[in-house]
Parts: sequence; C-alpha cells; structure tokens
Amino acid sequence: MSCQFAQERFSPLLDERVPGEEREMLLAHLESCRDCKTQFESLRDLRLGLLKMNAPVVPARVREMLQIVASHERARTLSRLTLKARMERVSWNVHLMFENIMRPFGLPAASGLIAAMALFALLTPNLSFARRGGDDSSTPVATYPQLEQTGEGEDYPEVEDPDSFGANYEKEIEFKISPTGSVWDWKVIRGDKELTPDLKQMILTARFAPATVFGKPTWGVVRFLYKHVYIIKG
Amino acid sequence: MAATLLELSPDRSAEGSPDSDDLRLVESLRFGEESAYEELIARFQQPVYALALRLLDGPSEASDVVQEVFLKVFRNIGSFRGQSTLKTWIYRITVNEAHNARRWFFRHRRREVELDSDPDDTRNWKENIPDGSRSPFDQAFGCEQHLMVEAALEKINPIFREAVVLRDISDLSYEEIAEILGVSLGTVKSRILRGREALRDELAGSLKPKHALRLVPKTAE
Repeated sequence: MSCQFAQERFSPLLDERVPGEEREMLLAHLESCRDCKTQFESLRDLRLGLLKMNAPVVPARVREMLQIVASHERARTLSRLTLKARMERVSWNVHLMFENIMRPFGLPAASGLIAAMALFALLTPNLSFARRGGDDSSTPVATYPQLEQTGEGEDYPEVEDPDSFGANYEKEIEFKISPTGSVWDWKVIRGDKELTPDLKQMILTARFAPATVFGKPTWGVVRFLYKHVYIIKG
Repeated sequence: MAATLLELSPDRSAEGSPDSDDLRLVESLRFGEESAYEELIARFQQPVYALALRLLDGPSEASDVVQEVFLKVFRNIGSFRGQSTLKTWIYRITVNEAHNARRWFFRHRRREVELDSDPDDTRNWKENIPDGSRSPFDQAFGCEQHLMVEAALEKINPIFREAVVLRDISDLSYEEIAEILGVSLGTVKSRILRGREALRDELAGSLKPKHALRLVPKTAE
C-alpha cells in the first residue's frame, strides 16, 4: 500500500467508513510508516479538537428576537386556521388526553388478562367431570327406555271373521318405566281404553332397560303402537 | 494500537425518518400551539446559531440568519412532509440561508463599517464561548487552541467548511450531511477529506515560526 493511497483514506478511516479488510491494511500500514502515522494522528487530533469545541452562547438579543418572531407567526397561523381544523385539533387533544389517562391502566389490565388466561389453562384439566374408571367409551348424556323382553301372551289367535276385531285392533299405549326397568303405569293414548287380559299380561311381564341421565337409571316414558295379529280360520 | 489510533466518539447512525416527538411538534406548530413554538426555539436556537456562526464570518450575520431560518421554519412547517428528520430539515434551511447571506455580503456589505454595535458585540465573538469546568491554565490553553481552529476554519473554502463543520462540530452522519447539502455520499466524503486537509494545512501554517527581525553584522568597509 502506497503512502498516497493510505493518506487519501485517513479521513474515512477516522469516520469508520472504511470496510474491514481495507481498514486492517491501513492500520498495518500505519504501524509500519512513521510519516503516515504522524499525519493520521494530526488529523485525528484535529477531529478530536473540533468535537470538543464549545457551543457558542446564543446572544440574549437573538433569543428575544426569536420570541417576537414566534409570537407574530403564531398569531398569523391562528388567524388562518379554519373551523374544521380547530375542531380536528380539539378532537386530537381529547384523544391524546384519553390515551394519556388510559395508558397507566393498560399494562396492569393486560397483565391481569394474561394471568387469568394462564390460570384458566392450568386449571382446566382439573375442572373436567370425573369418568368411570377403566371405561373409555363415551357416556351419553341421556337415554330412553329400551324394550328388552316382551311379555307372554297368546300367539296369533285364529278368527273366523276378521271384522269381529272391528276398529279396536290398533292401540297406542304410553308406559311409565321405573328405574328398575319394570312398567310402573300405562295409559292408552289412542284406541279402545279397555285392554284384553292377554294384553295386560304382556304389559306386566315386559322388561325394559331403564332410561338414564349421565349413566344413572331414572324414570322414563315410552310409547308403543300395539296391533293385533290374527290368523283367519280356513 | 488500532483502538488507540481510533479513539473517537462513536459514529451516530443516520436517522432517516422523524421520530414521534418531531411529528407531534410539527402537528402542534401547524395548529399554532404556543408551547410548540417555545419547544422548537428551545431545541434548535443553539445548534442553528452555532452552525450559522461557523458558516459565516461574524455574530451579526449569524443572528440575521437565525432569524430568517426560524421565520422560514414557522412559515413552511405545513410543507414539512416528514421525509427527513426535523433536525436535518432545519439544518438544510440554515445552510441555504448561510449561502444566501454570504452571497449578499459579498455583493453589498464588504465595504460597510458597523456603527451601531453594542459594547458586548465589540468584543471578539469567540469570547462568548463559556467553559468553566477547567483550570485557568487549561482554559487559556484550550481557548487559544479554539481561537486558532476558528480562525483556520474561516480561511478555508466555504464549501469544504460546511462539510467539516457539519461532520466534526455538529457531529452529523455522512447520510445526514448528504441530505442537508443535497449532494451524494461520495461528494460528502470528498468534501470532508479536503476540508480536513485544508484545515490541518491552515493550522500547520499558523504554527510556523514567524521570521523575526535580525541584525546582520556587517564589517565596515
């Protein structure tokens, strides 16, 4: 590296505007060349001296003059402000004031919200409902009574005249099923209210799976459509 | 060794866009708020005056320039679009006004003699620089150095002087200087280099011993 080349880069080197590799080369050159080192140090001292130069005091006359200029220009600006601009300014000031008031609450409120969310996330597993041990199948919330076993009755009676059954061959009956699965009560919804002994026998001996709520047996109601089935003698 | 050779204050990175304080101040100025005018004067009167004083030849020109600068800032604040910082915008106005003042001075006032100056102004303006933190000897020595540097600054080309003052006294980055002077980074680099060299040569010249009167003995014929 020639001395002239190095000296042209002293100024950028002082301002740290020389890339790394070139900077290393320059510093190495400064180590080896006494003249260049002296020149560089004189430039560095000059810059340090300039940086340390004190700021001149603004004369009082200038300060007063500036106050007067500012006062005149402010009056001029205010006289040119439109009503819309004034309203915008008022709304801006209100907005600023609101922000300044709310800012102190912002951090505590955000912290509280985050803490509440973290607490909820931690406690959620403990808040879930207890499951029955070993049963991984999902438990339905509620079930209806299910017929498990029909009662005993006469199988398919033989009749000579189908019309002898008349309009009474079809009934809709509502059963009230106890938690133990037996028929507790019944009510004929549609059809002849009178039940044949055979049908009564069937109802009393029928067995149901009781209705459940969250897996627990409870009272339930179920409706059946009951039809006669018969064989025509022939 | 490298660290000792480059013991300087760290280079501040250029601030390309105005900060929220600047924007708030500009907005308040547009709406004529009194506190904004006071804040602007308090923030910028000193740096603007210091810059003007070092770009011009005396305090009276600097005072006129400062007044013009603030007048322009107040009147044109509506046109400040925030593409640069408020500081670089105001410095740019100062540099331009200093240019204008220098041109006007060379045309009109070169032969004028100031008659209405007050007693404070009759003293050298450099005497206004306060520095009460050092011993009287250091103060005198430092003051002497500063006077020499100030005198040397006045003698170098104004184009180079602007670059050196903005970089080495106002401590602005190359990017900010390029923005203020409206030139490329390469030009800034070149002007700072040549300005520093000119200043160093000027100072070296002022430190050379003056030729003293000598009595030359001659033998009588």
